Amino acid sequence: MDLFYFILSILYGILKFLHINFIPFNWGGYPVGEWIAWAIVGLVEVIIVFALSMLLVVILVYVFRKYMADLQNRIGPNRVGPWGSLQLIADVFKLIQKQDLIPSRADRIAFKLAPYIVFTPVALGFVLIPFGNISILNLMVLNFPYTVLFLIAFMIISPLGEIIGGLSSHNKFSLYGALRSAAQDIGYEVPMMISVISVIILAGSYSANSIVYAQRNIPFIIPEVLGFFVFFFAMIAKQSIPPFDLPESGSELVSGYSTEYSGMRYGIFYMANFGFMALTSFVVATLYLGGWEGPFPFIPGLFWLLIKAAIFMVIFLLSWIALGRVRIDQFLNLGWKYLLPLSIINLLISAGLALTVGGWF
Amino acid sequence: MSLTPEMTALALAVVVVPIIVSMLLAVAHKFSPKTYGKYTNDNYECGEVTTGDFQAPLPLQYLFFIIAFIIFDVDFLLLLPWAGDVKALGAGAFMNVVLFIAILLFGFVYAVRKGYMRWADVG
Repeated sequence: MDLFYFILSILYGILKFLHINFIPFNWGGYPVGEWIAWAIVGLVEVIIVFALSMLLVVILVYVFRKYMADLQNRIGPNRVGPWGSLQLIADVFKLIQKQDLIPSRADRIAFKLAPYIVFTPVALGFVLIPFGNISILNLMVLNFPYTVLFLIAFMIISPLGEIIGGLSSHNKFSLYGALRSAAQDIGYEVPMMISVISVIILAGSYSANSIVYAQRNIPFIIPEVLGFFVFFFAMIAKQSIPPFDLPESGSELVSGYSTEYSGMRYGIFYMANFGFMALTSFVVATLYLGGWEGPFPFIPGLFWLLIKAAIFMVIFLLSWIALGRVRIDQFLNLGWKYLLPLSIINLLISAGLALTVGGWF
Repeated sequence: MSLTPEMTALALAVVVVPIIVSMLLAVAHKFSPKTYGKYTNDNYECGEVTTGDFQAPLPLQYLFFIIAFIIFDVDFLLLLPWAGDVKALGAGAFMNVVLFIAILLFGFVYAVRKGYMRWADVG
């Protein structure tokens, strides 16, 4: 039995039990009573996926620390829990005990608002990814025909929070971090969007699930290798990890836009950072490597998606640890003079493919 | 775009996730120490006492990049309806899109040639 129907029937029963009578009225094709029940069911699933994604973030931070320590010839976290695996939980308790500092010069409302704007889109982005084809646990959480558009919108909203946080701190380092963040965002967002438009052209749909289904024969990395590279670079820049960590470059600007954030507010920025790493890995795997499609039908699709995403997570971590930083003018040159023309060529190629051999996809 | 229950769930989640975050922040605020000294709420400048103003002059090149970004962003947004149905719209629509992009690229190449798309004189 589907988990979706299961929770639905429980909630329906609760509503019936409380004598809440449903108005016999159609809104969006659904009778209003069932419509409310389905919306609540969707919300419950959103919260389940939110909790699971936070678990994934905790695992990713642990892997990052151990991997970084390994490459730098250190031991890494090894005191809290077995092999230091509870280190991040201890860090959360440490952050909770820190003083909640807001600079007296800062713009208080915007300063407090920024972590929400950064974190909420990241948490919601996980909901829109098709996680699998398992019928017993229908993990395509929210499946409506415009999921990719919402996904890209969430990924573009999140850096705005960094800019707001940097500008509202009224600190010199934060200001320069925010300005660099804005310059970097406009450098990669246009090529990123054109790459996504190319994927939509080949799949012929705005739904992430249809894009996965369109890759059952050929993953889009083969016809769109240019678009894949553009999107991949854009994703590295989007997470602002080296070589494109200009907004928060530790040795020049103290910590960029997050200089003034301390305690749990900084913790939320940190979680959003790693959440973005996981989210972008899932997005690249979904758009270009076929998502949950895999060779053996008896293996659940979630397994294949996690493997494909894990490859990208390791590449991102390696890029973070091993590479140096480029200058801002070098990055803007890359974004405007190389990635943009490449992505436009890719757009024309995919439109030509869709018009000539579109039946393959 | 008709409103489905799943979109409603997403809209509810946009409210619920910030509530979870604010609860986390409220717990942190409850347990945090509240000691204030003379310089506690000053801006952080590597441990020194804060000096000067926070404002900085912007390079003019910034505006050129932002204008180029707005033009490209809006214009490629206009391609999204075409992108969903390329096969049905056929070759004629494709030629129109090529013309559309060519006009854009003409302006972009002009800006590059005139040196507007240059952050500083070092690249």
